[in-house]
Amino acid sequence: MLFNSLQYLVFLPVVFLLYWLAPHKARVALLLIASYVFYMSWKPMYGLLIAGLTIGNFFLVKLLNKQPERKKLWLGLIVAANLLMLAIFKYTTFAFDTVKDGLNLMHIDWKEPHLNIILPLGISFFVFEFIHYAVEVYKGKPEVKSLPQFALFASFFPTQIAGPIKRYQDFIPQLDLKAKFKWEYVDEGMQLILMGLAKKVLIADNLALVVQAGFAHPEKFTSIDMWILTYAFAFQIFLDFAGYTDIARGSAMLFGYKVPINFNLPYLASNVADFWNRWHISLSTWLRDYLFIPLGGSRCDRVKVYRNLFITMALGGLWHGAAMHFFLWGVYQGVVLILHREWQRVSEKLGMTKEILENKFYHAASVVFTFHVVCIGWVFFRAETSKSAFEIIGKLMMAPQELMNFSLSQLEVLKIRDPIIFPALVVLLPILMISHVAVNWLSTKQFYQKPAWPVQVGVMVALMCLLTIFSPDSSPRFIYFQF
Amino acid sequence: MSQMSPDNESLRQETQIRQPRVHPEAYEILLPMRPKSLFLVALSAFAILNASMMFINPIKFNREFYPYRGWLWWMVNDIKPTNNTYDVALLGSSVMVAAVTTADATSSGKPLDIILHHKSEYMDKQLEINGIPKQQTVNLSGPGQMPSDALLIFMALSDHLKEGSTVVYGLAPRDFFDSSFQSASDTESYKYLRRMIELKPRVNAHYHQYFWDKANALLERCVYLYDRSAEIQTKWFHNLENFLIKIFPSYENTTFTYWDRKALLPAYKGAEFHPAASMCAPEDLTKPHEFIDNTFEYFLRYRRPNPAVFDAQLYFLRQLSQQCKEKKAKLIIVNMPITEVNMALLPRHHYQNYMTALRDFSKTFDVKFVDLNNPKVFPKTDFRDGVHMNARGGMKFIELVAPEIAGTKK
Repeated sequence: MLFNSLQYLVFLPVVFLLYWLAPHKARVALLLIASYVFYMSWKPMYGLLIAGLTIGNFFLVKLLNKQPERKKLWLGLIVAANLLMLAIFKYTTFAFDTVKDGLNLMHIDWKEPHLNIILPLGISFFVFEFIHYAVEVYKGKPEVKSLPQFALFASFFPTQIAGPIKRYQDFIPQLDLKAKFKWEYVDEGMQLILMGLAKKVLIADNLALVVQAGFAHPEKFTSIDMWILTYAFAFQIFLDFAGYTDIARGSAMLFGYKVPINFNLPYLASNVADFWNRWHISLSTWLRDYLFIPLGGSRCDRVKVYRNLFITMALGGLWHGAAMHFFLWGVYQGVVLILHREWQRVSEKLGMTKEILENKFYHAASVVFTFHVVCIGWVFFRAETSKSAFEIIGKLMMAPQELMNFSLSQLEVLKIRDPIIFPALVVLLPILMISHVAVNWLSTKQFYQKPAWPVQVGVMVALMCLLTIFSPDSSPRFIYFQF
Repeated sequence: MSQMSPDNESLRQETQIRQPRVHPEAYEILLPMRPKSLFLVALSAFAILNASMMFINPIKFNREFYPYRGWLWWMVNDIKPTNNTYDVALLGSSVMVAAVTTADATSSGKPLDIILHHKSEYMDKQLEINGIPKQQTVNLSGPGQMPSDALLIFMALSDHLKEGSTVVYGLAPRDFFDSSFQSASDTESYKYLRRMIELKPRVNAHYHQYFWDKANALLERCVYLYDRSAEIQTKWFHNLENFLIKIFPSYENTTFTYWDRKALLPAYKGAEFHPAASMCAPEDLTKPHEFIDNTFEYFLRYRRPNPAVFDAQLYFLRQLSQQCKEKKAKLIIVNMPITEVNMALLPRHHYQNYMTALRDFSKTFDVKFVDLNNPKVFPKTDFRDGVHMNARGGMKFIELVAPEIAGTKK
């Protein structure tokens, strides 16, 4: 069931009504059933997978707690079992393909077995939640006593498919609170849902068309066009995923639950480290806590820190998808994070003064520079193959040469009539970029803290109208569903 | 909520990060009292707005407008604006399209543009041979056409049929058993033609068999903006285009064609057609035609026949016969020839059920039924795949159907 479907439009209000009509004791069970209905509406068989993993993790962590002398062994077993499940469903085909490519290089012809494995939706997200739970209990945090509560933590339908990745110590206590219905839940939840749908349906889905064309046929576009299309992808993936997160948070809010935020104006980051503090926050904090720090974190010598950063980001890239271009994206992120640390070290050595670093122009230039560094990374992420990613990046690098004799009439996007989103990009992208800055400015002016209620009502009515008009018959799936 | 761990920054809501306002009362006193629920106020405002728009009807509804240029759009726009009237109409799926167009292309020796060719000249010739001269046949068949679509097409274009005309509807088992079929209301015919024709609520209800179809239909009926979304979107895109031309004057002179778009975005508006997009070349009847094996496609199509779809399509067939009677047109149903290989994919009792249903229908509604599915008459060499005839098969088919039509005219 997609968030942007008629099914969800019926499902959510029904669960909402039943939830608030049910006594507190029945609510966890109700949400659990609803979450399994939500999940099994896609492929009923995979309901068994999530149920099996939930039960397995719940009892294995209990064993870990009961046998303190074998804690480490149990933790290793639990993490390995979870990663094995992820590997089987997500990486088997990729592994076979990689082996085959390797053997081909040595002129060895090997016919890989054809396994018809369908990636269970959301597996990467709930496996990470299970690992987090096991590690936290290992570290001495209390275990979850109730199996239904733990099952709901893993399967909670708003966050089930694409996160945000929850922390059990934040989520489980909310289940115990005897919450009373408040209209604030509805107001805040619905505002988030409407905003999320608008980001997805009105902008991201339209940008998807141009991105699809550009990345499938880079040869048909100029270098400047490719930059425009890369910017378009940067905003497509942001608005698609941020839209999904808004709907997830809004849906959870309708039941009185808070789930983590995932984004904080990522394209206003002034360096790549700052970007990762603002982008997919629940994943980056997970990677920090359960991969980077266990590897040694930043409390070791410089080379080891860089190694840790590199491994964390490369594996983080591979987590996004079983393909070489995702891995390369992770590697790229690792490399630019290392370069950023080096730059910090060098600037400190050179004695760059605080005034320079905090200068408004320097900050603005850093934001622009970081955005472009991130955009180059997105090429690896979006390209259909790693070969095509390098070709596109090669084309992007030709931009300065093209800019020497640039005129608007050279832009290929301005020659396309249908879909009109192509020429509209020239207007839309600056608006999206400015909106990022404007949202930040309004935020510093505390506009969002409590805007005048007629403004909130007006925005909601406007969004309802726009979504009614522009909701397509079959909107594409959210990008992060594939992970 | 107070028990949340303070060390998890990813949980800190944006509102928690920001500082409180300095003087919150400063403008609040100017506003009316905050209602209990802003969402309910917004929903009520949307409902009032919707009701007002339904009453005022500010957006003109153009019945013939449709933004998607599919097969049917080209057919309707080719026939509707003319005053032409026809003596014979052919209905059916691609099985009929293939037979008629290959026969015409081969007999005339010229390639035909299937999107623009809505005649059957070979049929007109055969009718003349059978003693009915000066007949004009219109080919209203189209890919994927099922009885639910045929009914709508007949209703939309029946004004172009002369009184006493003959309607030949070529049916094949797939029109009743297609597992890949989603819903009768999910086709181009329904989406486009329901704008043009008034369907009785009882008939319309049969197009919405499933819960989600019904829910969608209800939304269209009750939410004005949803119902008018095609008009508003088109207007919006038109204004946007004008705006872009103002800022970038060179944009007006761009020569971006349908072909450029197909090359760039093949899946975008995937079922849109364009003149010259689908050509039918004449065949050399002295040589055997290449046979394409589409067994797997039909294995998937026949694999899970839905009895509800079967019953619904029979209902639409009955409606079509009623419409023909009202328009004083004679309906002939033809069981189209298909190959034995394709027949073998159908469970035997399904084919028997299909044939029994057609025979019963023919008897009950006094409709002529012609069974041409005979492998001895139409061997595999008459086909270019499991179900579509080549020119040899198509011409033979028309030669066998023409006397049946002539029989209704004499």
